[in-house]
Amino acid sequence: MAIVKAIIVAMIAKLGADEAKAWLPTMTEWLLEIAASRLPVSEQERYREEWRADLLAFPGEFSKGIRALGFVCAAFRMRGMGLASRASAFLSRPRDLRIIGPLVGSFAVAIACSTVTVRHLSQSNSYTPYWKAVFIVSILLAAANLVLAVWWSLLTLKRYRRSSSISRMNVNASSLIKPGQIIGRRIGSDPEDECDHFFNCATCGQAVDMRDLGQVVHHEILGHNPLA
Amino acid sequence: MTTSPRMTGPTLKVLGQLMEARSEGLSGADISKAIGIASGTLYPILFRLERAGWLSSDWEDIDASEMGRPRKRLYRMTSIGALEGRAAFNDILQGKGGLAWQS
Repeated sequence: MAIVKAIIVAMIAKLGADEAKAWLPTMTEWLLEIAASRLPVSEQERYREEWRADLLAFPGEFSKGIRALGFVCAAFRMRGMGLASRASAFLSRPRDLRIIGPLVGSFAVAIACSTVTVRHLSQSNSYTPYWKAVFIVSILLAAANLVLAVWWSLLTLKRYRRSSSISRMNVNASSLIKPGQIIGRRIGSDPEDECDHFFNCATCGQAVDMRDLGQVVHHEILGHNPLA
Repeated sequence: MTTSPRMTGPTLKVLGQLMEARSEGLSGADISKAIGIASGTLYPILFRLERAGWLSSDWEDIDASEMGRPRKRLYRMTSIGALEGRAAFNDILQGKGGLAWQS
């Protein structure tokens, strides 16, 4: 019985795989069309051809499908850039500081809680202890959320102001420059004491050799750990 | 008006790859394969860099019907892009104060 079951499962799996394989090129083409149609009309023809050529550079049907899915994501992001470049420039700083998300979220929670409760009370006219508790809890939750959002935003702003240009960039600079990779020398004469080449990192307390660019970059990253 | 694109890790990788290629153009697929970046990330970066004037792109010089395949779009660094890109890399390399590594 188990053997029969296994054979049936294997057959179904094989049929399913064959079916999926047969449909993949159509799905890929469909995704590519969706992606192109998301773009401004003037750009559609260009990207349709460019992305078709791009897909040909990848052999497997599955990888083509994944890549076409990426085109859809890319198209949405590109459309956003095209339509709202000014707004995006305006919002880029707060977005980097992650202020907008928590603030909008907390306001939404506050508004939703109050609306639901007030609406229920006005319609049912039943100001029972249960609804009174719900109302108080929802208001408290919203207030706590708002306080947390403001606190977190101020903290982030403080950290942002303290951080260097390297850590402000959205890049893991320590992955670009490894310790020991770029060794510089002090401009002018060398210090009399070898200790003058070092400073103690304020975050992790480790001594940093200023001649080693990799070490300095690593200790610029927010929340880093001491180097091994 | 061109604005400087936001410098992220993938953007720097793309810039580095195009700087290496110099005047030879690279298609999106070439860049993707070289630096292992997904299409959903790559094309918005190319779009942004092209809009900023750091990149230019042209169609591959072939007859698509004769070759039986669509033409590739080849991306090249513009002179502004090369300058700005180098400045961006220098900015990272200089780090804090940039004292020890200038000579």
